[in-house]
Amino acid sequence: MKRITGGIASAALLAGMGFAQTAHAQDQLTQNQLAWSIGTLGAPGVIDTPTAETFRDGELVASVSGYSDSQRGNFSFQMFPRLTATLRFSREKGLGVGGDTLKDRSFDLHLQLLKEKGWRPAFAVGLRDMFGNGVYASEYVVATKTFTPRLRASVGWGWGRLGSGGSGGGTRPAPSLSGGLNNDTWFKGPSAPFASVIWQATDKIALKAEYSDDNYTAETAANGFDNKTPLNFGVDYKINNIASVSGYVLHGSKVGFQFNIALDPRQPAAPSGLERAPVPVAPRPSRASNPQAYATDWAQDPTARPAIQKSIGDALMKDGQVLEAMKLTPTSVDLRISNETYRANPQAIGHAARIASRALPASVDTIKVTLMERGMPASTTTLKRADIERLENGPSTKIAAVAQIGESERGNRGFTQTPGVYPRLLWGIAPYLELSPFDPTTNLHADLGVTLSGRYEFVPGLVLAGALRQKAIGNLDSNPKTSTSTVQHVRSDIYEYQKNGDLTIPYLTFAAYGRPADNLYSRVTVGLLEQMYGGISGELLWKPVDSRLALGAEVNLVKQRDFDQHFSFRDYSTTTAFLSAYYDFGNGLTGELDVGRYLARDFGATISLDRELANGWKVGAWATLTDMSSNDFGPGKFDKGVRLTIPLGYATGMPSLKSFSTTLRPYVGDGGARVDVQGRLYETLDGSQQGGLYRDWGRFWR
Amino acid sequence: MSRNVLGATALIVALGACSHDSAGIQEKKSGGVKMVTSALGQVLPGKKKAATAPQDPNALAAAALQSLQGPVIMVTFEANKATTIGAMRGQNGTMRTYQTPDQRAFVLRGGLLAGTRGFGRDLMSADTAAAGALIRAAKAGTAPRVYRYLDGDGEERPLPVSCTITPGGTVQQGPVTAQQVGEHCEGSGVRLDMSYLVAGGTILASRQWVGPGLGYVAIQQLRN
Repeated sequence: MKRITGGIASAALLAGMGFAQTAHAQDQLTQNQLAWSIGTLGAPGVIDTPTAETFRDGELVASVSGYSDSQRGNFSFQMFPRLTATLRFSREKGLGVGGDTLKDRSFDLHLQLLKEKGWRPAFAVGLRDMFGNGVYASEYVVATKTFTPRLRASVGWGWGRLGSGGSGGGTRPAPSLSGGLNNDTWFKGPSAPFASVIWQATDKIALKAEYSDDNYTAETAANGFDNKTPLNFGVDYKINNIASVSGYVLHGSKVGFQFNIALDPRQPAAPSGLERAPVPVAPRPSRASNPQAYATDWAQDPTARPAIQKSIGDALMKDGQVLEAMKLTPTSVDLRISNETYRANPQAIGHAARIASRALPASVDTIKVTLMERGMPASTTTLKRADIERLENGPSTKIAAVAQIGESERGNRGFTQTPGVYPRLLWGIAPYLELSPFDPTTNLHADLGVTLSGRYEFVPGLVLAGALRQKAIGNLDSNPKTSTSTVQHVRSDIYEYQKNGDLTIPYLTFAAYGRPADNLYSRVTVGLLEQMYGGISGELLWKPVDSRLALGAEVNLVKQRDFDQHFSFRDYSTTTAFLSAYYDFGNGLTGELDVGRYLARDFGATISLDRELANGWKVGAWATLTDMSSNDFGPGKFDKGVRLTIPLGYATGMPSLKSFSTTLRPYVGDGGARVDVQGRLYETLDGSQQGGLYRDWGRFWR
Repeated sequence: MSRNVLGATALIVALGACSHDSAGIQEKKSGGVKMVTSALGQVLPGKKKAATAPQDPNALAAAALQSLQGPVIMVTFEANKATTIGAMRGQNGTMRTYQTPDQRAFVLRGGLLAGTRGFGRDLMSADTAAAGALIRAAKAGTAPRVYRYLDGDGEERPLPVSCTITPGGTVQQGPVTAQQVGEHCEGSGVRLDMSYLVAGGTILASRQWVGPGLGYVAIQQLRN
């Protein structure tokens, strides 16, 4: 090894070589693209009128807009590349019963029929405020054309509010007030054209103008809204890539403001992560040059195996993984690892394989990595050591082609537990924030406090877990809302439970996980299962490693807990039971069907659909229909909702299994309710089997 | 009342960073707090992380050569002038993994950048064999290259380009006569200009492209 260059002399030479240094690759998506514009209803639009644009696929856009008499909170989600859904919570002064403020929820769909292409503008059709009293109800068709990279214009035709200043079409039918779909009114009644233009004046500022024939009839009657002109004007200011503010003047009469946050799941803080580099592969000497390195007599040495296991175990621990057990023969190794750091399991497998390449004798030419989930071997990835050496830091597709992902060995025969790991105690203190269920008629209530949680693992898969909560401050105990449900209060007493914030036990369970047979996984959980129920819960899941289909069965014998959430129970017990089918459609789309008996002894089925990106973002929706009548269920008629999971690493760039999850449920009723047990098998195993591993495989060499 | 709220909030946030694991694995910091601060950092303008003061590269190189054994490189990012040292941590055939003091890595294959690790928008892998052979031999010719990155979805995406290699003049570097080699690549919406200083089949110094997120780096082989 010799020193060959010194100082920065050569760097200066390079700089002087005369090659252009200006070439910078642009992000192709954002290059010369006028960003989408958002309207006051939170969907693609200008101010009150829509455009035929869409948000970026998968994008989640939250906005708050309003003027003196109107406040709206909008959540829009680009469900598919062409379909935008918007959920809105709003307050409109004077539009409620008897001149009260109307507190309302509404839902819109916006569908782009044609993309802009060449001279052809984009076309879209939309339905605003499709359900219920329809205070914003309107329908439209709209075309949008980008004339220059800074100028975009739209024209369209609107019914309902958008056409309220128009003529023809007769009388628009009245909306249904029972909360149902207003399809009888769509595209009926007076209609009128609308038009808009957006000019991107600078990179930060866009100016907007529109012609809107919305008469603001109800606002004029209730609050004296003065509709001076059909023209609206606005300005957008982009704060950064995710936040923007707008100001606008409505019909020459009211000044409004809007704040927008757009989270694009495809724009994480650091797509490849900021975690430290993995240890490199240590290749073996060639067999020809050093045949004695491949001898197997080390296997006779009783100190060799423990030393190798300790070396791999220590290196994995530094890497954020636990080597639970190891099986080592002269030619192969099976590492049972619990990945406790990397959201993408292939990254954990890749690290384990590289660590093993540095610690194993040369004769070991097969490296198996078994992912352990709650003590259950979930899948085994078999790699030839020569492939790891040959393909290091190459395309992930090449290593995928030679890696075999298959069923794990069950049982512990031949495996040696890593000493010093089990029994294992984990505990932590963390803050919590609990919100009252959303209800349009009352204000939001919340508690802030601390949770002390602990977990004692006797051996892998045998776990005692519990938590203790203490409220520090909050007003959930003064929430005036009580359940008005006419059936057994299996969930609707949430308000009573939330009133008790002093030293509650959210859960205290003993759980055993197992592998009773090939392709079969089991769970038994006993104790205080969740906030409202205690008892015993058992589950069995059939899920071959390489199967898109999985089948499950679950039985829960539960008793309702007292509101104080200590150890006492209320006078209601029941048995719920379900048969479940799960199907992985590919591209991160998973469907689930559960059929069985729910907490209020009602029978029915739940259908859910979840879409997960390889970076961990997950959006899903479910609906449950049971034999409980829709009148007994209450508003909304049946249980349904959407859920969202954002992995912590999306925001921080650091590897983590943690995520932020939230569920939006329009109404907490007593029909179609299930016990909320931790560690359900499908979600426990999903990321560790073939479908999940292939989805994340691009991180193998990360 | 508001003082109570503030006090309680402060207490809770302070407690937020507390956990223990007898096996020593679990993260210490509270994820929620990190997520919130990081999200706020993205939303609120200003308050950008102060860039580390650029160090004198000569002093850095001298210190690295003194304290490190084996092959050493010095890498400077063109975008922010940040300079770092890489010491060889692994060698696999012609591929070398150089690790920086902050545990990130540069992967070079025959002196050509074939990967980075830990920079957030890493080059995951690159096919460099054809271009590398021409460059190290200082021969004119064309060669395809494929760069691969993790996209926003978390999936690996290739970025193929087509490169033209052009030898330049020679330069005397102390006792060594080195040859300049230029490389121009186009494709997939990018135009790249890279340059190398080659002597005896070894790349002594280079300006190479890492990727759309990280731009160009200058790499110097301080010791081979």
